Amino acid sequence: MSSEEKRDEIAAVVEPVFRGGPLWKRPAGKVLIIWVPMTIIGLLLAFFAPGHLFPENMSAEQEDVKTTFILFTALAAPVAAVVWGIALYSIVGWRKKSGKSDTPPEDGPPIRGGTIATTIWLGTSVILVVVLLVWGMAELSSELAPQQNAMQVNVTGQQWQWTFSYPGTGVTSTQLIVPEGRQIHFHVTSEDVTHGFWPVQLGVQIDANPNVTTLISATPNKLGTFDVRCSQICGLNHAYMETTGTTVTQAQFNAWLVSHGASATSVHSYAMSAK
Amino acid sequence: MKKVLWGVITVLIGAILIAAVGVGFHSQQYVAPAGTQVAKSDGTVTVNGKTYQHVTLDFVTEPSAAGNLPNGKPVHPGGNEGWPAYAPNNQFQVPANSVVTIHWVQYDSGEVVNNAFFAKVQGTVGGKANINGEVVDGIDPSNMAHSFTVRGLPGVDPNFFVSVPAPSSKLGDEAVNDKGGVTVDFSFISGTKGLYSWNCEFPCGSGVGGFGGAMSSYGYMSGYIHVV
Repeated sequence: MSSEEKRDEIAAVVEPVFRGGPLWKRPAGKVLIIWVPMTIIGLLLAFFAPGHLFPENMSAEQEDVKTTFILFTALAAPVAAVVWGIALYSIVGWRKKSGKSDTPPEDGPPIRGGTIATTIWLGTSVILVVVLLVWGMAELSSELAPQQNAMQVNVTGQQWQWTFSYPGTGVTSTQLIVPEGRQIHFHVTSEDVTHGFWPVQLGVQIDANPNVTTLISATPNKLGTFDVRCSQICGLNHAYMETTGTTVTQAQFNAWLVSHGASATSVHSYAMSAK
Repeated sequence: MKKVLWGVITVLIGAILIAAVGVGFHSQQYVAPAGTQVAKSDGTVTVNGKTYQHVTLDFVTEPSAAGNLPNGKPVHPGGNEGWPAYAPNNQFQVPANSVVTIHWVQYDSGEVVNNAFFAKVQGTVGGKANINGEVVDGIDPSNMAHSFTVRGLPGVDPNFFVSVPAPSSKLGDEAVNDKGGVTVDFSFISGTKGLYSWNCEFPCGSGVGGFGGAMSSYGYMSGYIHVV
């Protein structure tokens, strides 16, 4: 077959997809008809579902996570809708119809080329990926940036209990108490297997590995209680490796340390040390 | 009509499969092999000016789950030579908001605990325990055998926490069942109604880190407390 004949054959397949006849009767038009509502559904989910699915915002990091989720979902919605649109059109439009032969039709000719389509495809993908990459890197960078008044908390996981200690005060507790409005540096480790330190409403999570100390930061910005869970399956009672954390005012935090045996001097030193 | 029939059959098969999975999970629900010890009533007791119902529980920890207790009952129905075990029960029932006094006899050997936090007595009445006749708020972390650590399950009483350590038996590394026991007595105030879990926080099992064997099987070094 000559190249001209090949081009004609391909054109015979491709042309009806995009040109000729009313839009809703052409395959491209049918995919578009599916794409529009699916994109709208995806965007609605992106903007409204997180409000119901996400845990309460109790830190700056959790707010960032939620914003990132909304942005990523919104950008992904039209792309996902294209895939679903083509899939649905193919499944429904090309299903075996009653009375027709069981033998599937022969494959069409392989399609190569298409500069405009390739450019749109690659260009859109690159723009989307770069936007997501830049946004992600910026968010990660802002979370890891140490603040002047950061406070240190040592977190230890062991089957199946979390313990939290406040360096220099001599206080260790199974409850995580943190002051509002200060960046907390969690120094996380494990006494046995790998656990996952996850203060849910603070929007951060990091593995607790034996013999290694990992660092994660969060800035609680709302008073109240939050859940602290293990996010790595760690053995028999993994499901029970959960406790509560509480965000309190700085004054309440200092009083709590004193009530748990810290001296007033050590509390003052601890509270001020990072400033 | 035929299509509708097949559709109904497909849905039915799916429903049966889902139901089978549910029944399968339900059948795996933990049931204490040695039954539940219901706390014995012992009048009332006043703590910090408030009067509570007083109940008692008692148990032992043996260095080997194989063999029988002095009363002839097996240490643990599952046996397993060399696996330490709480006996005769690992599931308990106590009334809510009452003072629970536990008498624990510990026969197993001890070693260094990996987290000294659990060598401290926590959450008990007065923050103390009576260990071998001495009232203490903790033990030597280098000679710890087991702990009885109770926590509230999520959604029940998440801040509830009681942890009491027990030192090695008087026989040390030569520990055998029912000989050289040390006594650990303490009281705590039970929480609100619901299911609580307890376990030993000393890695006393086999395998890597001591968290295999008895530490990885329900009923030896862990169990539940039903607060009713």
